[in-house]
Amino acid sequence: MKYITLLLLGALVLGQELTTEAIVDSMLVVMTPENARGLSRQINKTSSGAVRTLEYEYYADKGGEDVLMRYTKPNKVKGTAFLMTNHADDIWVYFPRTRRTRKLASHANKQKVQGSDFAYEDFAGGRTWKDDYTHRRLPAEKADEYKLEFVPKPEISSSYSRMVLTLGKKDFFPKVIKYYNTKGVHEKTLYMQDIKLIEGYPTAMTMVMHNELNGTETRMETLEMTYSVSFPKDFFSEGNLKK
Amino acid sequence: MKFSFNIGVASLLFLFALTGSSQAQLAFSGYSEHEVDQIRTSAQFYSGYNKFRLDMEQHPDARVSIYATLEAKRYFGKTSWLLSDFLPVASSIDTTFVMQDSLTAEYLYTVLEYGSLMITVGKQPLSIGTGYIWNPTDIFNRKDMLDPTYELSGVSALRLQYSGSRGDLDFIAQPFGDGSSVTAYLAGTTRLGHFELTGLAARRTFQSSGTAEAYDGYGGSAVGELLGLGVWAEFLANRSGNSGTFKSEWTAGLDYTFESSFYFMLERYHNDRGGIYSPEDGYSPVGVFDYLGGFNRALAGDYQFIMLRYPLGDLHSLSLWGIRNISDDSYVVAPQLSLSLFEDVDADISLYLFEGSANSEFGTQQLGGRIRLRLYY
Repeated sequence: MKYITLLLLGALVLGQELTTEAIVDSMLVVMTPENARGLSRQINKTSSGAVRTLEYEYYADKGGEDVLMRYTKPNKVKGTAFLMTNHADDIWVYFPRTRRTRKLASHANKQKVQGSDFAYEDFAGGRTWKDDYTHRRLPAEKADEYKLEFVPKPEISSSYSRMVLTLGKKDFFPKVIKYYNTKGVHEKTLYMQDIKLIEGYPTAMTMVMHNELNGTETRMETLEMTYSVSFPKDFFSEGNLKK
Repeated sequence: MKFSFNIGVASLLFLFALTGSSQAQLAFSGYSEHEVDQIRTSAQFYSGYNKFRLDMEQHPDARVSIYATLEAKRYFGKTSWLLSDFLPVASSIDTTFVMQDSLTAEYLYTVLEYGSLMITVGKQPLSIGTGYIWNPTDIFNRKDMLDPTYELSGVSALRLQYSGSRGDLDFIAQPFGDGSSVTAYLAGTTRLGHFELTGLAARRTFQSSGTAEAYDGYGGSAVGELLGLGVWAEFLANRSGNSGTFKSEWTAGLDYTFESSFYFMLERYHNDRGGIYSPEDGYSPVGVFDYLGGFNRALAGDYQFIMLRYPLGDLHSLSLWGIRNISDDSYVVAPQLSLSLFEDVDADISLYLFEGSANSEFGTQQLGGRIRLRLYY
């Protein structure tokens, strides 16, 4: 947060517009706190109008490099857990009834998370956006917003050919993310809503992912979140999935 | 209604339920399941069951967890079958088996955690290996080839698992029925890039002609990714006694998910000890007994498996899978519809199409169908 303040002060003093790099750096600072622990509710709405509600515990460290999710509701999936390390390059899934852990290949990160409009790779963004994507600034619709385009580098395997982010100039936090599939078609839009400051970090208390192609929608509601958390050494490990 | 009932276990569970303290809340969950099967062999029959499963867990301490699972199962329809209804057995060794109603403690185990060490003792679920249908390195269990993801029976064992920064160690000891010996398993797992590699040594004790015999096995497994494909393999070389020849059992598979969410999986299995088949005589009685007695996890020595799956909307999926017995050139093909009817209600509808000569594994049956409904609570 101090880095953003310095940047803004610098820009004010010098009367200069921020560079694209500075905007991306500022965005990543607010989007990727070092550690996080939370409880979320996921509401899936299908094109036929059916609704499914799930709740899960969420743990992340190293700015989202490692993520552990454990479902608490409904009864059908209670205890099912997913571990994603190396920005979802390695994925394990744990089934509590059989106490079986299965390692999935990275192609599995294209699959939907429990039938939602989020894919596993959607949870793995964060700091990879700087290293794995090229980025450029686009004209924004509003004066108080930035608009950035991210394109995965050729060596990166992604379901998306590009992503377009709209950020607020005040807090550098994304308000809207548009995902384009490998055919260049606008496939999904993520709306970050009800932004609150939690422990100094802007946090979207509601995220809505809308599938533009089939009309389905998934709503993620943050029920609890803290960033002042540290994890034991082996927390993000296969062994911890069973605990 | 006949019961298979352990009064001691039932008493233990009753006490377990009553003595849960306010600090150690007893949590209940489970499901009720209802299944009906239509089977056509020489004639057409229906069969099925109603099952109720109760899972209980208690955490009296941050490092101690106690788990118990009770299952009640009641059959209906045709419950008395001949082996020859399902397998190509000669009339001289054909026998009747009866599906009996049961009430059992399927799992009853305690987990103790000491830092990186986890100790599990009791009748517990064991899932070992990387294969989807066949797991050569799993010396404790055998999956149903036509239903490989179904829960397996508990195994009474002591298990020690150690998770380290460089890898994991896993030791399992299962006492043999008469207390004269144990089945033991020791494995070490490490990670190399996107691969997880396991090496293991095992001693498996089994019943043969009324006496306990053992064989030693050495092998391993791997799971990871190659050229974007998920890949896995398991291998176990085993021999009876110190002078016997090593026989091998292995499986290998791959899978992939396309951007359209279309998914496919292939798996291949081989067992040197598989039953010997001839088109004239069918399977040797030894091969049939080795399979029925649990010594072999499949009747024959060579199989192929393929599965294709595509989501139907967000809640349902359509699968088509098939298993081919390479040894006798028979196969089964099964389209399956998986439905999420309500939040905690799932249904599976499957059709089984069997093809093969009369004395082949999948040629014994003609057609089958299954509807399974599961309600979670």
